[in-house]
Amino acid sequence: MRNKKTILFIVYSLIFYAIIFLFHSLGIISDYILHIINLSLIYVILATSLNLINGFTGQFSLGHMGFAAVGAYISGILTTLIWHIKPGNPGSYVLFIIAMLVGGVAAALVGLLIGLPTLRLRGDYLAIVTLGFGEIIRTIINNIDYVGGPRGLLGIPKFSNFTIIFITALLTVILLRNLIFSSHGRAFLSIREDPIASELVGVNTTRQKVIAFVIGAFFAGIGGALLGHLLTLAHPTQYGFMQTVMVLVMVYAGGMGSISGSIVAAFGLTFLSEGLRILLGAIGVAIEWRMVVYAVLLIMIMLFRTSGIMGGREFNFLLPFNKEE
Amino acid sequence: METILSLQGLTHYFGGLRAVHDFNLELPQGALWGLIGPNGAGKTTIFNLITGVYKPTEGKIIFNGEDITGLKSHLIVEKGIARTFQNLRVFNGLTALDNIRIARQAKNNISLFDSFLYTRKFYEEEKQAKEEAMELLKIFNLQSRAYTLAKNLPYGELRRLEIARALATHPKLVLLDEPAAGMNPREVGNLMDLIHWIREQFKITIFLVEHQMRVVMGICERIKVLDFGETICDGSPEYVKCDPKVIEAYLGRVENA
Ligand SMILES: Nc1ncnc2c1ncn2[C@@H]1O[C@H](COP(=O)(O)OP(=O)(O)O)[C@@H](O)[C@H]1O
Ligand SMILES: [Mg+2]
Repeated sequence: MRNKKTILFIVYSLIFYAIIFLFHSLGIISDYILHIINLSLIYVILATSLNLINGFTGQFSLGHMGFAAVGAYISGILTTLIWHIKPGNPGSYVLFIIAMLVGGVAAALVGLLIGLPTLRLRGDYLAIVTLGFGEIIRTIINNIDYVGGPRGLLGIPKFSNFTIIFITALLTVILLRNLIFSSHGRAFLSIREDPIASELVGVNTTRQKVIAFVIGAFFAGIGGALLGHLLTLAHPTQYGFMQTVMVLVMVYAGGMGSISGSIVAAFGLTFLSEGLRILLGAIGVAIEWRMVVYAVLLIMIMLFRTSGIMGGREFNFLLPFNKEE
Repeated sequence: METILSLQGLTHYFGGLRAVHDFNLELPQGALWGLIGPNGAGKTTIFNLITGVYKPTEGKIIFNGEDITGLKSHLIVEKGIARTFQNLRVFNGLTALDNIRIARQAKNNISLFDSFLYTRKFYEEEKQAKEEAMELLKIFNLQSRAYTLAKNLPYGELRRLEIARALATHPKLVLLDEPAAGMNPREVGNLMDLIHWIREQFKITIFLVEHQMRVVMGICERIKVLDFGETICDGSPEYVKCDPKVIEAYLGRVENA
């Protein structure tokens, strides 16, 4: 490690981890709250990876939860239906991590399949194609008996615990940040700023867009695998368009092109969502009304603060370098 | 002298509109030539054809003896052709430094692996990219602006930044599309000196588009005149200046300069 700021960031993160861990074992943080923290961390992975595609590279993908579904089902098939492993011995955790990576790679391959023909074209093709892809994935899952069809894939072993989710989220954030603050990242940004000028200063824009899209899909797959092994089931309704909208709201609320913003918004909106669930339940309103809240929130952001909470900036502790070095 | 760029019978249609017709050019290595003509004559279209933004309806583009017709733009840049734009196209949301560093992309052989893990190679490449970019910023007197977002720079500096960015691609040939647009006469004078100096310093060939005639008269060795997509005159500045067809093309228009 040659980067002092990265080491410092990891140290801060581990302190955060230790505090949550300690509070939970002392009973200050309940199982329920820890569960929501786990969900938030998974949404950090989903939101930062979507931000790479939509925020940093300026593309418009609407299929992020489709990639998460690929990750959840592929990893779930491996752990539940093929290996029949249960958490317990360290060996089973190694297998789980392999299953998670396979899920990510499968999602990345699907991303490549979709991205290669689509990203060569200019304009809004990606939005249309990824929208269709999300629906196609759900239809396929619904019709495969092997993974439970419309009943969902049940009995997935609960491998996702706070430690695993935390480390995965931390690695995702650091890897994505490193990519963004590199020559690849500058190429992504230049495509967002002006795709024609980017191509005309020598950036292979098609290739860079595909790279961003495939990497985004990979981390979505990882997020999906963690989600499946946290909730111990994977269900087609968890990976629909409305769930993608929820991640989109996180990206836009946090700010396009800000990893910090996506992290803040992932926590904020996950807690808000759970709060609304409780509130709406208490006053006897169907929880589907949460979606209305997201829609209103999204409209407010578009109207009043288009650049999101962070306005494209990063927390200093997340930056790999000091500004002028 | 050897030809660096050869355009042969270049013709381009936008739907039914013939924007360029049978344009020919044999541009010698190291030359500084100009292309002039009234607005809408087809000058920018010729640049767009050379740089692969459009594929010509007919004709061939030969660069350094190699047929580059229809090649993707970034590959044409890699072969050594860089350009600026009539209506500035800098990356507004990025710093001046990053604007320049992006243009080095093709020369940058940093893998995804190196970028993800910040390997030793990554740091070495980044250091070199930055030094090179700072060098260019200094040449264009922009070093104090390195960390300023392009959208906060004044117009004159943006014009210089765009030329610097073109040079950052290590070109052999630079196409300048109306570099003096929006400048006052004093700024135009300075710019022309700068263009002259760049050619010597970087040992490059320059092909310059302009619609105001007087701008190019002073520095171009040879000038082609375009009107409605047709080449109407071709020769030394003195010759072009006195050609009745050129005078008519210019005087016949309201926006005559
Ligand atoms: N993308 C385009 N689509 C349709 N017509 C175009 C396009 N670009 C340029 N033209 C037309 O082609 C002609 C030449 O334009 P241009 O090359 O921009 O002229 P110049 O740079 O000499 O002012 C003009 O009539 C212009 O309207
Ligand atoms: Mg023009």
